[in-house]
Amino acid sequence: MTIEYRDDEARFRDIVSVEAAEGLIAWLEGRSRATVDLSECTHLHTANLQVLMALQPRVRVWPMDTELAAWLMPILAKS
Amino acid sequence: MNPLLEQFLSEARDLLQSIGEKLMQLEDSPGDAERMTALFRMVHTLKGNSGLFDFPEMTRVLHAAEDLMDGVRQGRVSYSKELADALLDSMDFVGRLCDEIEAPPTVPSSHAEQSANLATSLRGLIVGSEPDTGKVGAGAARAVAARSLSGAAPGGVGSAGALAGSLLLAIPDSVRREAHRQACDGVVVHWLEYSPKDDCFFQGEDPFFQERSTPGLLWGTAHPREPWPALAELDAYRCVLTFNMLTSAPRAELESYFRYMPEQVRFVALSPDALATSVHATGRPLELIEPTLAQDESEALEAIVAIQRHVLTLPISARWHLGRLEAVAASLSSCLGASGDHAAISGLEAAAAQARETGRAAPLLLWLDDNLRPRGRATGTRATEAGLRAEASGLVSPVHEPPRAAAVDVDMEPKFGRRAEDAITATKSLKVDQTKIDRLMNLIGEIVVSKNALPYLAARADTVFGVRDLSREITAQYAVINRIAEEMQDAIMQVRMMPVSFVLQRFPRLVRDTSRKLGKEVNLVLQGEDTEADKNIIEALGDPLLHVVRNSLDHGFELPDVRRAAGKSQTGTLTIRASQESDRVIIEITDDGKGIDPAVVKLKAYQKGLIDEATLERIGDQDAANLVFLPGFSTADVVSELSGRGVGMDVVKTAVEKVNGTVTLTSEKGKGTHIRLALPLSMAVTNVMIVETDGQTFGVPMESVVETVRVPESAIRTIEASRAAVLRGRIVPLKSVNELLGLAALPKPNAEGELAVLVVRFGGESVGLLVDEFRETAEILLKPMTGVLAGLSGYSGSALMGDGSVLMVLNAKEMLS
Repeated sequence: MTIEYRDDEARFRDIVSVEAAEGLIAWLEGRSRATVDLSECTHLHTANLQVLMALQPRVRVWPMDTELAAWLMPILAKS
Repeated sequence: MNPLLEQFLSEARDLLQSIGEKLMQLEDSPGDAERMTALFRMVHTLKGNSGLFDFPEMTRVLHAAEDLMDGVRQGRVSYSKELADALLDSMDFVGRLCDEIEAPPTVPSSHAEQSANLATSLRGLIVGSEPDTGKVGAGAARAVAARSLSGAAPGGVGSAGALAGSLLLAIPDSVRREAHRQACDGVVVHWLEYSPKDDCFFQGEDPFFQERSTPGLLWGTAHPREPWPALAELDAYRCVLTFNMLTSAPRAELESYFRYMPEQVRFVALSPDALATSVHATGRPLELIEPTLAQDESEALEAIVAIQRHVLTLPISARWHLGRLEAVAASLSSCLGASGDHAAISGLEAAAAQARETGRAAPLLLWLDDNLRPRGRATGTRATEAGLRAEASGLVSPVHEPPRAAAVDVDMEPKFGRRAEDAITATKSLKVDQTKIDRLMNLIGEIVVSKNALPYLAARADTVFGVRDLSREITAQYAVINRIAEEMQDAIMQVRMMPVSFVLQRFPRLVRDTSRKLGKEVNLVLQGEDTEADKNIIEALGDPLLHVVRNSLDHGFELPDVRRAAGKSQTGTLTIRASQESDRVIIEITDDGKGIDPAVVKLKAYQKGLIDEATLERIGDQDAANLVFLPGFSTADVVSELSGRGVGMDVVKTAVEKVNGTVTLTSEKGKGTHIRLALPLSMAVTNVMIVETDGQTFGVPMESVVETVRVPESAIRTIEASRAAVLRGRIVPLKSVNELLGLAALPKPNAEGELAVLVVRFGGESVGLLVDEFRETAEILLKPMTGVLAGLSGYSGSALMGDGSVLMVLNAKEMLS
């Protein structure tokens, strides 16, 4: 798994594959205070991107990969 | 070639074959839903497999075929002959691609167009049959394809101008400025909309990755195509995102980059004007003047603003929350100062004051949204913005927890359960390369041979070493090994056995196509397809059968009109029946065509100098019909594409006889022709008669042996230079094996003055071979002569005997002719 879950934080690492999406939904489920740490993420599969877009968990740390961060911030930044 | 590709090719061939069969069966029963589903599944599997490799041409055609089949399956498109033709053509194309993949390493790009055409015509059938579109045929589909290729919007929004107003808004000014600059420099900037298919994840695609790696990417974003469903209905594996991109890469490069999904992408080339004049979200036209800040400075500014935004979104639980708001306001104020936007400071201060009063971040965030909108911020956030505004005015309490459906655990079950279907079920059959089986067979053959050495050893133990007990034990062991070896031999024979259907399966297609081409109506009946024979035999059967069937279609069957005039049914019947008769497999091909006219055949053979006048006079009708087997005989006056190149039936006869088979033909004028091919079940084990001459032993295949007789020397007559004897009232020519093999010795008579004569079949007659002595018969594994020895046509091969000696097996036919 390329997502590490601890308490209310999901930490994405390296490349997050498509298989992780189902688990991510299950985890986000009922966790209103869930936050996402993308700092070590270099790419996430579209399926995961969709889940983040749909369920809008708060992104606590944006990716260190600036290119990815530039992609994700406009899409995922929550008002 | 890697093993995966090898397996793909072998599977693809199987699938193509089955698809062809199913299509043909469906022609007879177009309503058969089960077959249709099976067909769809096969096309689907093939498409999926092809997707594992870089064969876009193949995948595209298969994909179109799959869509068409899906339409048929769901009853949207009706099955027709044209549809079957189109699908068969496509499958042929895929077959050709497979051939090319196997021969040269890459698929030449010249197929791309053909592939596109095929895919288009397939899709045309879908469109053509849709009742509600009203458009007919491939024309409409071509238009659709052209549209998706040329990049115009499916909805009819073709011009960049119409597009710019709505969609370009999302692009941040800085990006737009850069795009405008490049456009002015003569670079064509494209606006791309990439809408991946719902099920694209299952095809291993990652659209986000695809988008991120788009060449020449200037900017991009993603937005959902439809409102997000409730959590319970959210399907992680259904792609609902559409991507928009601005790219400066050349069109050709983009098309090649998206070559796997041309229908999912549309391109719109943007003119510099379109980029410049489109209105900003707030209604401002794009300011083309460079801002006062340098590129890196504005980036830093943006980063700072993003951080402030982020700070504002933090939960307000902390005690220093108000201080945080103050800090944000101060930072933003400094930013405005640095970028020279002093006019905006007052607005910020008002927002900050409001935030301080209410203790909430919303007013500041709202101000940020209105004034320092981050790049690419999509317009889809209106709802949240409205929420913010409401919150800012104190009407709604802050909502930090997004509303979510609670009952989701229940829903997760089937989702995970769905995975179970993907589990791999173990297959019961293995695909093994034939060379491996051949090797196994050779090894087993060697065991059989070396096992046969044990009785000799037992005898030696007794006679030479005088240990009788050991001899007995060796014999007992031999019995065990012998049993196992025989079972092994039987087992490997079973492995090599193949059903005749292997060669028969191509005939439905062949008969269908050929008879159509000839304008004839022929119904093919296959019987006994599960009759089994050794693989080599089955393969040897292929070409002769093909010739026979083609001949029958071309020369045998009459045109429908002629048939009706002759009082026959309009549709002719061609029957291919396979059966087993003791150790032979029999293939009978029967047609109810016009049969062979003996008079015509006789005359033709005479004209071609194949028979002399005397033969012409006395030959019977059945014998005359068999003249078609003579080399160089062809009755067709016109050389057609199908048969009649003068290589027809004699090829059949030669090929069948090569594997020790026989062909017989019976024909009745006006009624039809019956051809019977008889072939041995297996070539692996050969029964030979062992004979001795001049102190050497030779084997003669049992199938050519008629009888063994002893003839007194006195009964042998010499007619001119050759010898003959009367056996059972017939004159049998006698040949000395010694003479034939170039041995100087004369045949040795036995004590009674009789010569051993092995009567063998040669063509239609019997010939006596003079040898010194008959020995036992034996089952041997005949190995053909290889290398330098392969040129010795007098021998059909050699075999290793139990005592370690080598037995040469004579080829009586070659020796005598």
